[in-house]
Amino acid sequence: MPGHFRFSILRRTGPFLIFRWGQLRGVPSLLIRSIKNQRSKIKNSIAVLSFLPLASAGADPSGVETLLQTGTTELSSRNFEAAKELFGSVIKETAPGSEPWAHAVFGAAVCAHHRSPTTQKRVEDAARLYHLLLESVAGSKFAPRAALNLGRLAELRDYYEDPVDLEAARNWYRRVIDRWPDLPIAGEATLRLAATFVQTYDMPEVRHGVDLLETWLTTRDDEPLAAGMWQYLGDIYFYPLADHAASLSCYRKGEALGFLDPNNIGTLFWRMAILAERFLEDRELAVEYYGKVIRTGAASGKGYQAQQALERLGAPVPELQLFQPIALTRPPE
Amino acid sequence: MIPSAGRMRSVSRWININTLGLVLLLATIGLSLGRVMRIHRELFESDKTVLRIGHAALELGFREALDVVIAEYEQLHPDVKIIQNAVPQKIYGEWLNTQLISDTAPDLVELYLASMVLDEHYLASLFESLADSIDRPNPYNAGTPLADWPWRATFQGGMRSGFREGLQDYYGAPITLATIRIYYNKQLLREATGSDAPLDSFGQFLQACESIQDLSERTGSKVTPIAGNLYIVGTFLRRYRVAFTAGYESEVDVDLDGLISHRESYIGYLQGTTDMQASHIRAYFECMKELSRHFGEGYLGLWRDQAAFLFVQGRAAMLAAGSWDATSLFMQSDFEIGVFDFPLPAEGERWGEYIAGRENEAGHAGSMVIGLYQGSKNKRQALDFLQFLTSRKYNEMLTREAGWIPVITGAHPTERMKPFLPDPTGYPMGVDVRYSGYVYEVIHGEEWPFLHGEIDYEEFARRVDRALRDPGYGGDRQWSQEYDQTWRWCRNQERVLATQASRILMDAAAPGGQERYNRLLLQQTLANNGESIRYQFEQVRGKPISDM
Repeated sequence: MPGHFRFSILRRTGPFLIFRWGQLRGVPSLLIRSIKNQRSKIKNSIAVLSFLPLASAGADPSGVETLLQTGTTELSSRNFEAAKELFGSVIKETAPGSEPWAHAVFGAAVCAHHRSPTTQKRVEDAARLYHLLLESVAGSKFAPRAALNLGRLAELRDYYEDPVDLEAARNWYRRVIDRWPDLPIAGEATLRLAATFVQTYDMPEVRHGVDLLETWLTTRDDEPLAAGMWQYLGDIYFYPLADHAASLSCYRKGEALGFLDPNNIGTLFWRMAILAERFLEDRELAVEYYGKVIRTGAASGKGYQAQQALERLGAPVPELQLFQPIALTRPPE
Repeated sequence: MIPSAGRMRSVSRWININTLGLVLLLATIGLSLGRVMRIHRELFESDKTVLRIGHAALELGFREALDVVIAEYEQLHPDVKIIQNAVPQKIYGEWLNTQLISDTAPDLVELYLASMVLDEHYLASLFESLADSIDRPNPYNAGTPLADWPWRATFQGGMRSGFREGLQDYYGAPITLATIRIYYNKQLLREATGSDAPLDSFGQFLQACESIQDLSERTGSKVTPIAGNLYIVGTFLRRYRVAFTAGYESEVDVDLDGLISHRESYIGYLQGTTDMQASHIRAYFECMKELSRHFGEGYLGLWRDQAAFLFVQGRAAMLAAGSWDATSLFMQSDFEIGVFDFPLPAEGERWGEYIAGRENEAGHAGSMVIGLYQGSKNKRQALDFLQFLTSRKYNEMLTREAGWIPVITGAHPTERMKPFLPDPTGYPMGVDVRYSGYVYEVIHGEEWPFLHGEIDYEEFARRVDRALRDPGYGGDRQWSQEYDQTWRWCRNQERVLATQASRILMDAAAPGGQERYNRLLLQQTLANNGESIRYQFEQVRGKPISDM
């Protein structure tokens, strides 16, 4: 983490550290300041030093397990540099192809992929590790995500002048769908694949992306991302396709399944209400969604205008329930 | 016995300015050492669990109120000692960054001003996610109607101010609601206008300002109608900009989300709907020019403290300030204070026909958000105290003592604070072409000479137009920067997604981890790597965005 060093790393890797925090407290303050100033060097040193006892123990399985856990904790806290060192040592100490090895290779790849600043060398290192995992243990639980991440590397600009290669990204996403069709990640790969077509904003390509998603949804009743896919389709039909009826219909399908993100629901209900009233002239639907803006999306700031719209449409107007200190009606989940 | 002359000389030789200086120096060193040792003992040698809470709320009454609630908590938990670190706002950001870098931050921290708490990527690695706790009841609500509510649901506004959109997670809990209103000196208003009733319309407001100005000139008392200051003038401008221009929404809100973005304002400008000659825009600026005449001379050189000082001294009749300042103002003034909301031009008054409605406060989701520092040695206890602070009973106690607005449902505000309760009626946004970067700086900078009467409206409009149409740095450039920022955001979100996906795969995710991943994934996918912004640019401007 740039500009920031924390001794928490020392505490977390406690059992394996030669320089423990308790011992450091005895070191003269000048030395501590000097250590703080050279944070990246010391972080690497700590990680390496922490493995000395493990190395001498000859890859004790419980030690490997602890190191993997510590690496995972560091990765979870986005301390990619420290995590990569930990995973790197596990790679050296475990048999290639074993599950701990796959765990460590995947962890090291993610760290290389996301360590700041992102550079061409690091991205290439990440790609190499993802490839190594796929070639060595294609049956590992980490393999599908490694393949998908290779698609992400191709799709996004990771560093200055990194070319976007949508075709390569599509190949990786297709590979995930074909190789692991029954895992939930296949749905995610389909969403990613469709998005590579949509983001070109070339109309035939956009329609192809829509077809991909609609076909997937008609054959996958149990798709965990279905609500999000319908919402995405609603967005695409709204813009750039300007098919307002299809847009509202997709949003409604997403809503029926339970929108994935309830936090910005007010503005989405507002759009649905406007689509119904202004473009489809469907009073009943408009009343339904203006009501939802008031009852569940008033924090969007659109509650008052939804009340005005209901008045205009001659429909009953629910009260705004925000900031009523005495009211103890439990808000919707 | 009378001392000998020699002994007297020997004593008097030591009584001189140098000795005095030395004694003072030694005393100061002694006191400092004593204090350092006392703090050290309190923090490190106490037989109790010591918690620290750091904040920047130095307003009158808050620290005392927090002490009252801390005393209640310590009575319930005799093995815990809580110390508050109150730091002035002006240095709070730097102080907090330093504490975080050196791993000495308090256990609980007000997430405010410091770059390391505003940046989501730092925040996520420095503060604890509250995801594990928010869906469970707050134990300190036992025996109240909130007993079985999820902690998150007990907050007015659902704890949204502790939610970080880009991380799709909760990193803090607010302890109060906050709004801005106009305080007024009832005695001065009565002397000037014959009434001390709150001012309901902008016409009455301006009339009162004129009357106060007259009174000031008549009596030579040098009273300013409104204590203008740089801190609050932006709030005046925003409140009235929304009131005057929210009505353009049906024409410029092309994505139909009910909000008017800078990009939509700019497109409206290019199409002539919301340019500087649009009737509501022109009326808004004229109205603001009229209003700023009453802010007092040199108001841009004042900050909130100086303006408040003018008000409590009776040298300004009105002051726009936050609910958090209420206790300071009420306690320090020796006159009766009234409070009213920003008044709007009423029907039949000048500018009345241009008004859509007030800016609403529906988005207010709680202020003074407290986060739990990841490096805390007593996380569980710190979280427990945070829940105590945000329980119905103790949040009411805290805000009642501090003169603030409670944030927990069912906690009652005091009578004095009722006018400050957020009002959800009105509009969320108005037109604002001040995109960002150069365009923002130029337009924002040109507002002052116009408001001060140094340039007329036509000249102001010309300068705004020149800034927006500047081929190198104008609106098109800002649009392309929005595109650039969006795809960068998508790339940065990849880091958040990859971390979350790894946690799930490595069995290290908190409950609800998959749902959180799905929300993040959808959020990033909907942004389309910024390409919809690029496409819209090409459609509206008829040229490739890469030209910019």
